[in-house]
Amino acid sequence: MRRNTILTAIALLLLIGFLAFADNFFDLYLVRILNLCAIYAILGLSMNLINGFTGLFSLGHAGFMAVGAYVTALLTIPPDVKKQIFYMTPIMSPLDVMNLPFPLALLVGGLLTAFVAYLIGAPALKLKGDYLAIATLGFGEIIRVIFTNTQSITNGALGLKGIPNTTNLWWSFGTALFTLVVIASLIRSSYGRALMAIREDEVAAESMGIHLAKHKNLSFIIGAFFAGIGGGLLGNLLGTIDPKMFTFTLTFNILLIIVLGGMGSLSGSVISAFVVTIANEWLRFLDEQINLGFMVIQGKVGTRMVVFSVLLMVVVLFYRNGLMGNRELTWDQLCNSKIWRGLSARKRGTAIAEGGEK
Amino acid sequence: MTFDLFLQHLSNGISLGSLYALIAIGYTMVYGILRLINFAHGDIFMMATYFAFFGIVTFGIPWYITFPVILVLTALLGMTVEATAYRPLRDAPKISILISAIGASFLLENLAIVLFGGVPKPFPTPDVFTDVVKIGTVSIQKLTFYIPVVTVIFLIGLTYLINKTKVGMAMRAVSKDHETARVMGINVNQIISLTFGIGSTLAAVGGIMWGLKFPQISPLMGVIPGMKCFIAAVIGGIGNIKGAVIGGFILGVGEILLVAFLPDLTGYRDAFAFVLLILILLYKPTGIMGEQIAEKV
Amino acid sequence: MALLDMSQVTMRFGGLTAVKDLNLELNSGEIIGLIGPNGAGKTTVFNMITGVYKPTIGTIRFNGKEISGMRPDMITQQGIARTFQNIRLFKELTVLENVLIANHLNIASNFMEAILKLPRYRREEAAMREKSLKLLDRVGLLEHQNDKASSLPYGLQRRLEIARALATEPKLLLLDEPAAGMNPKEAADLTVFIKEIREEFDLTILLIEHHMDVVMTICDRLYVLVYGTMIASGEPAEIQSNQQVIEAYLGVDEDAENQ
Repeated sequence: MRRNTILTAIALLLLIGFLAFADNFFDLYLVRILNLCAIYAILGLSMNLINGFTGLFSLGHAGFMAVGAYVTALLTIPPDVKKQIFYMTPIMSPLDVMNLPFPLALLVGGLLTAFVAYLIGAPALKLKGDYLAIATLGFGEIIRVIFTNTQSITNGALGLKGIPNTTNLWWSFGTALFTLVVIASLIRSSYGRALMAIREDEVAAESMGIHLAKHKNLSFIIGAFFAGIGGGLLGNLLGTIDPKMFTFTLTFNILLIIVLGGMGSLSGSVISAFVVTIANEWLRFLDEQINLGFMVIQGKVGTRMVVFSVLLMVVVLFYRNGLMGNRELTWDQLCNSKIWRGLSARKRGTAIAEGGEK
Repeated sequence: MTFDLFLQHLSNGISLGSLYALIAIGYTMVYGILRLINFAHGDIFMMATYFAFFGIVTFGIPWYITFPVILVLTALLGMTVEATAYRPLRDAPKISILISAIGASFLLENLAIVLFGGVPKPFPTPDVFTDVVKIGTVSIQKLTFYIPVVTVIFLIGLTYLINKTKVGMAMRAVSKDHETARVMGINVNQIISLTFGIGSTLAAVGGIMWGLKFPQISPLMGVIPGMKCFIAAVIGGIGNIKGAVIGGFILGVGEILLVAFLPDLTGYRDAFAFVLLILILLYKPTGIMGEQIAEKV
Repeated sequence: MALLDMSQVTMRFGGLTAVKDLNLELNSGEIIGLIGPNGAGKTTVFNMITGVYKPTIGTIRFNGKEISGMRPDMITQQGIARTFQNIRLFKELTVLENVLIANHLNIASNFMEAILKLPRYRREEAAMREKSLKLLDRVGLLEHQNDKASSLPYGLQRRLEIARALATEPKLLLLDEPAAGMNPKEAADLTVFIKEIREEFDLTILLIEHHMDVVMTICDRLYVLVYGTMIASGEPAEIQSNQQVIEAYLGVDEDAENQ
């Protein structure tokens, strides 16, 4: 127990040190990718809570993100900038003068998203399996359609520009860590066990006295809350948002993350968020141009998504459990792994190995 | 609104409804046999329109040869999707199959973007279809009449196939129970494959007529119609072919009339179907023609 | 007053009448058998008592309180627990987790307290664990507490399902074919086990069973259901000699007699 606390503290210090270093010395492009990794980790964790742990196949994540992103952006864009970007139809009051500090705006964004999820969940969570999938997908689309048409609130198809770039490494990684801790704590509680019981067998869960609607809603709302916050962080990282950003493709990317990481594994989602986000950037050349040194092949737009679609199918068809299945990466596991044992035995004799067995 | 104008809207609604019906049948047949949404169905429909574009525009093959060939090609495409994305997961958890289906759908869409380009292309429209006839003061494209007629012809064919032939009997058997059907000597995989083939053929018929009616094609054109037609199938009662047709018409006519009577809501046109879906699932989850399926406890 | 009282209960699915005009009474402390050939509607009776189905006509009272129409989880709260014919454990979860989940219905802490691990939640969690471990020890599954439920051998899975039901602290326990698939020795052990838990947990038990040895040994009374209609009820000896039962039931399903 003691050892794990120390290891966690060391890991945290290392992370802080790394972030401080990255914040000062990495170029903007790299910092942006790291920010995206952390944000996708938040999104993956929140979708895994709903889909992987509770077994609700929900495809509404992009919609939730849209709500969070728009609310956060509208609350943080300075009033004079708002006047400029709403040149087609003026922004409705009191939104025009409202302005909140970033963390508060983010929180309001998350809470409003949770409220939207509450409204959606009441009817939609009565549905099961693929009906739920199509209904949540539909809600995601409806939210997008509404945002395109409510000109005086969202600026319609023009989107929002000039969102302050308040998201930095501290915010994104801090929030990701917070999300991880909260969701992990929930999963390991009696409530988390109830959610997993629902995933395993609804009929049996209900006959054990678990109120299905209440617990499904709980999972859906908490998941949506974090999706909203993730959306808010994303909007204030990118600086511009518009309804077209929040299509099903975005949900697809998060789905890929949780399937690749393992439905039902939090550490899997985090690892996979980094893998997918970095791969997404790294594979960018496929859409632009491929330089082979002696010749340059013009890349084609869409190739990257072809790779990702194939990846998703390969994972589901051949490695159904993804990277982690429903296991978690823990200190005990790391310390007991062969690699670590080998290393520690060589470096510091048997001291650590004994400690690992405590 | 004048009566003439109303007639014009109604005829538009009926031809849109026919198209929805044709595509919805594909969803409902696959659902009936596998209890699964074929997420890629809308994209198969999209591919059919590209096949037509290449046949007529690129290779200059006359439409009356191109169109029948496309039906075969699209059927083959549907069967290929089934063999790669669905068949290996026959005994897997439902959630895996759904994810695989979503993967297949994205693959088709993005392959289309890579191979055909993301920019919309004009669909070739032979004059025979687009000529305008005037009835009194109402002018209507000939196509508007052809679409329901073609739809009805294919529906009659399909009904005959399902109810009067051995293959149709096998399909009905498989949709009731895979194991029992297998014991009776039916090659279940073959029947499922065939179901995908037939559904895709109808999607191709719908796709061709869609292209003629809205002559602009793009890689993502199948997404929204795909979702709407799935909804049409649910409204009618999923698994039920008559229901899919009824649902298709309700959705098509409803959508056109909604926009005609309430022009303010034009922007919300695509949301209409989803609102309808939620309502029907809440108040009559089995749809108009569906049967009650009680879960065995 | 009867603990459970079903009066004039009918269940129809579309055109099919699964159970017709059923009257059934259970008194506290009894072990009652519900027998009948396959498809007689026995499991439907269980599903109506536990709220999976709402009876088309008729009322079900438990402890004098009307329960037909309540949600299944509310009925479990009232003190009715069940097992399933085709074992429905939470397969991917451990044996201990399976039992812990059955304790969740009594939790007083809300989810925020659970996430923040506030003192009240910690106390509740500790109490749940202690209770569950004690229960597992009682039913002889303690050594398997960290095994995946699906990895248990068949007989132990049945036992875990009963333990899980007991963890909800029921007054009435419904067992759906608890001896299915067991050999005579296992069935005999189960018979002893059921009698023991009735004493220890102060239970009333209603069980569906095809093993006639089990039924005749432990049941105080029997109800015989054929095609949804109750054709006889009474003590095991009476039922065994009831001509109507022999014709309608044993005559139809000879296997049951041989078992």
